Amino acid sequence: MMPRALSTSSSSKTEKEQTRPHKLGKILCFFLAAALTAGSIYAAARIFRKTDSEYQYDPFFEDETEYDVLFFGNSHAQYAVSPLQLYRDYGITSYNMASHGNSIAVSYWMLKNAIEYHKPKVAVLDMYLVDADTVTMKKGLAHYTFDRFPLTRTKMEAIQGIFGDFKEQLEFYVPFSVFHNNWSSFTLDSVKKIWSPAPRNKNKGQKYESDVVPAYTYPVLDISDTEQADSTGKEYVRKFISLCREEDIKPVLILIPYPASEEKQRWQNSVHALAEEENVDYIDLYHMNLVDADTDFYDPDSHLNLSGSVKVTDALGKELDRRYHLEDRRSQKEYSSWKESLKAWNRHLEKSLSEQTCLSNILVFLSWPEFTAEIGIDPGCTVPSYIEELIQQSRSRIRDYKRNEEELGLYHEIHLKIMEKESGETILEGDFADQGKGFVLLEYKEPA
Amino acid sequence: MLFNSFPFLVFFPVTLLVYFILPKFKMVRTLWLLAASYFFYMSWNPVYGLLLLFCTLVTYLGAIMIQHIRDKQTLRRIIVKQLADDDRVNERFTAEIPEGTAGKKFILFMTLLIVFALLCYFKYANFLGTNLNRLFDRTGLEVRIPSFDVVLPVGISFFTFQAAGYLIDVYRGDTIAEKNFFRYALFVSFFPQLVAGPIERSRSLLKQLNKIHWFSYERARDGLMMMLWGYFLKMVVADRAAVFVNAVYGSWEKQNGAVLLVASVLFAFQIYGDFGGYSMIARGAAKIMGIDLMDNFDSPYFSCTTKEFWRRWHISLNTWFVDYVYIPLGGSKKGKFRSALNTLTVFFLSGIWHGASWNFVIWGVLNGLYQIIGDILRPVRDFFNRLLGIKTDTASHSIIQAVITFLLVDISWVFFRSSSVTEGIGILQSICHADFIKMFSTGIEGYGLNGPELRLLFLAILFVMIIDCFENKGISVRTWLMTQGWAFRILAVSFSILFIVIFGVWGNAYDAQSFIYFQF
Repeated sequence: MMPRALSTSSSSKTEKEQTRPHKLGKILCFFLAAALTAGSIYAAARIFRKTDSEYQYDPFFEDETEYDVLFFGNSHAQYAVSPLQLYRDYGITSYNMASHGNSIAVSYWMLKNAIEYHKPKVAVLDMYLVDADTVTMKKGLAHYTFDRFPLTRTKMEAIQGIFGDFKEQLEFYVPFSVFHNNWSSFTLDSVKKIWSPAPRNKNKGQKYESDVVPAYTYPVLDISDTEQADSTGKEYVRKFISLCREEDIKPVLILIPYPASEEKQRWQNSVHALAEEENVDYIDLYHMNLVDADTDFYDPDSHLNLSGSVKVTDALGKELDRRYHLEDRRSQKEYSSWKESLKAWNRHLEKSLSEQTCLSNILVFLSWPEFTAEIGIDPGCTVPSYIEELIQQSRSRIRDYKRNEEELGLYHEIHLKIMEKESGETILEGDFADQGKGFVLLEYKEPA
Repeated sequence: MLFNSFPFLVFFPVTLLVYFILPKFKMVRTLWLLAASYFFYMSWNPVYGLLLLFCTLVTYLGAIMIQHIRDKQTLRRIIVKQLADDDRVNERFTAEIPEGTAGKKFILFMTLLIVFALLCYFKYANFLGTNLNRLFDRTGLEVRIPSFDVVLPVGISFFTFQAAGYLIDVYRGDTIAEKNFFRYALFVSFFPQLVAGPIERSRSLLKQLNKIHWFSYERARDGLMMMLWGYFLKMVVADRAAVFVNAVYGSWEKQNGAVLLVASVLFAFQIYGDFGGYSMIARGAAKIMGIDLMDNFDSPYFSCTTKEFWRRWHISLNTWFVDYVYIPLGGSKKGKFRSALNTLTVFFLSGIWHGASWNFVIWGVLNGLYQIIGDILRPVRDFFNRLLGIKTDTASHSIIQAVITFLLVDISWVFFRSSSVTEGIGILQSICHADFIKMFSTGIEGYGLNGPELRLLFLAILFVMIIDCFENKGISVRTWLMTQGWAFRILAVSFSILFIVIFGVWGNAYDAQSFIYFQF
């Protein structure tokens, strides 16, 4: 019931006055509209965002344990170094911060940002782009590198350091300014992106490929054959080292093996002098003759595949263990989550392996010690040399190897069965024959 | 600082907030708006600020001097009248008191000369030089006029015309010269309309700048809606159409005439969205500050004749030309031939005002000719209408007229968009040989816009036309929206912002287009 006084005063007002909103109502309306607008723009930003950066770095931000080592560099390092292999074999905890197209300058800025969240004992930097006279990188790739990092003063410094023009910088402060253009690929399923997190990298930042592509080969120069000139890359290597020292982090330079031209080799050889001058270690994995050009790359001119990565990580682990005496975290209780991560990674590899149809790709997975195999090769089968090499490289993991002993099938085929080592559970089994594009899994039709 | 840029999204709210927080002293607020306007203008190039200041100073002093003479004349008239009534004073004595008209004219002439000389130097020096050099080449004269390395200051055509209009108003006695320099400087430089209009009249804007404006929720709401509509026109329609138009016109020689036709039609909506959008944002921004700027567009593509089109398109410029050129030349009162000549003169000037290039002249003259021919043919048209019993007050007749008008205007837009007269003629020739079957079989994707973007563009244009149709019928959608319940209004505003943010062309994926009219 309305109080009499109020009722009387209301009735004296005109209808227009009654419907006119109160001052407080107006303020409420304004804030409601602002909140609704902000909320819907936030939802749109979630829907249309690219999740690559979250995929790459979400685990880094969520991990509550500390990292002994952080790896920096571009895609070479990203594909080469497997943190979970380092943990499994040496008890070293690490995260692979490297990302596509990062110049050395970007790696420097990445270090500066990363140490605000995790401060490692060792920071490792790949020297692939030491010759580059640039600080910048492709903007599209820079989104992969930086979008997941919260907008802090350090991130802004990094963006300003990499992109000179404010207009270019702006899309890193407000990534939606670019990603709203994804509206044309909108589906109803996209709405789920509002609440569901992006898929996560399961190997602490490492990416892997199982394709096998023969890599180019170049004559290997002697390490005394060097390029004397300075470069922006070298300038930022020095900055990287100096930042590490300021933060009490051990800086380490490495060179991931790849098909290096003679010119590139000269630049990378010159890092020995730079390392000496700066009094830091330079682990030149290139000259350790670790990888095979026929089996360990997934493209002809740069990136290692899973098999190459296993070899390089193993060598790198040995060096890190020998030189820096990092603690073995495998038995430490607070690092028990790493065991779970390793298990999850093994499951992920198993799943991925079970979906493979190309023999060379499958054999690449055999470089991972959790898998074992049985192989039978028909006597009439001509096995290409790279398949032979892959088999030989994983010979220790093949528990049953039959060749030319008896007729195994009607065709000139290879029979392969891959199992999980511990349980003996079959992951994949089938016959493989050369179908023009290499040996692939044969599909048998069920009899009617 | 473009209206559709991040700096403006910071600049405008800050300017607004300080403007309403400042003490309610006219001078304080004037100074603040003046500082904000100069900051806005100088964000393009700080040196431009000096040019704006110079233009302001010259016209301010000119107007003050003209006003001084006017006041003296008025005083003389009063004295003469009083003396004439006095029998003791003889007529010869009163006639000897000086008139002062010549001085007033001289000051007006000199001030306008300086203002237009500025405009000519920055805008037309190289155009004149190039054309004179061509003439010398043809006549065999070995004289060369060097080219000037000048960059056209943003919006120079707008503020010089506004200042010139004010000066003429003071000369005519239509307005009193503003004594307060800062207020006058703000009149010339008021940031919402500084670089692309509307070209305001002193009678309206100066008067409003002389008042204290309180924050009004209703005005702010209305202004915001106007700005949103402007952003929609600019970012969703104009800038998306620009991607297609630029791609097609950029390689017009290789294009099928049918695709050129689509691009030319889209350009008509691009320029409408671009300029209409700018004007709407300007009016909305000013409205929030309590100032009403004149309407610059009135559903122009619903015009039934080209004459009507020019009453609805860029209204502030066209009324400027009518008031300060057409009518002083005699308007339509000195016979049909003189009226036609005056029309042609106005459109020639309008063409050259838009750009120092022959294609703009052709564009202007073509529009002038449309009107002259339209006037000549009117009796013929009326005769046939009567003869055939065509009802001219039906919707179908209006639609046919509007389509014909649109096509005529669009033909002239081809010259406006082209970089030369030859290109314009070439494009029209290609359109005449259009292969529609080929276009329908190959589609029009691949000119910078994919299928969904093209569909969005056409839907957005349809939406603009629907809204304009309502406006044309006298139904204001904005007013209607404001009469709805608060929940609906909130949803409508939020949805509009979200729509523009998602579907607008902004950010680095596209190179955000500048407003076309900045260059004029």
